[in-house]
Amino acid sequence: MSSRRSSRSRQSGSSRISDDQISDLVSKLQHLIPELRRRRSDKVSASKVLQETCNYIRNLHREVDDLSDRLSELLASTDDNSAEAAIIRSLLNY
Amino acid sequence: MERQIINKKKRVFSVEPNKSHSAAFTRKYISHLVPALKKLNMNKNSSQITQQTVKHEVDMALALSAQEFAWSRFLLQKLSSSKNPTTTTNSSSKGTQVLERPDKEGGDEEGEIEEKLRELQKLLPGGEEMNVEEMLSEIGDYIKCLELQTIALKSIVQDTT
Repeated sequence: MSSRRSSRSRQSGSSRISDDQISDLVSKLQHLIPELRRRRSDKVSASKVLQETCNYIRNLHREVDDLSDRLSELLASTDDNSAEAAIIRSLLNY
Repeated sequence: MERQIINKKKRVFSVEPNKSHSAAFTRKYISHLVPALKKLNMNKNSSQITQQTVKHEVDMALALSAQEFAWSRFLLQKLSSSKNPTTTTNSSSKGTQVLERPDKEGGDEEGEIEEKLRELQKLLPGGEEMNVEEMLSEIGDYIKCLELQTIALKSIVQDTT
């Protein structure tokens, strides 16, 4: 039964990721993610940064979904004349 | 007077002027999304406006406004191939997985990081088809564009309620 170590010890084409790349990524993300910017500590672990990044992206996706739902509600509402008129007005003003 | 109103409308978003890259993206995004929405609004009586159609336009505008990035090309492909759009959160992994899956050996720090990287890959459009370096350089821009998209959408929605 051969136990496989993590892929970093095997040559597998483009899938090796080096420590440098990870720390580059981590420092880049630290500046981008608001949650991590607030902490302002250099001791945040790589895994934590990656986790927060995933959470942040998922939150953004959710927010965008939510906003576009609201948008579709606004567009679909034909009963409320004032809302519809306001949308058309603001869209046309561009 | 009219010119003032037009100029005022252009300044709806609080985008810092020195971040010209962000401003350019936001401008492009709005210029793609608004006409698309207008068209939807005009055809409202002939075809139903669903959440999906709006989401499709939202994603399309995002992809079109960021064509300098690889992820936008993947997003565009995905959107054009299916008129029944999937949300950006569900990316199907049809490409080869870039990061191999190590055997779970319990609490392995490296294994954890690799796992998180894989998750990140799934969140980025086309992430699973990129090599690692590409993904690393693209992820930052993707996040920034998502943020700008959110700001732009908020402005549109709040403007009209």
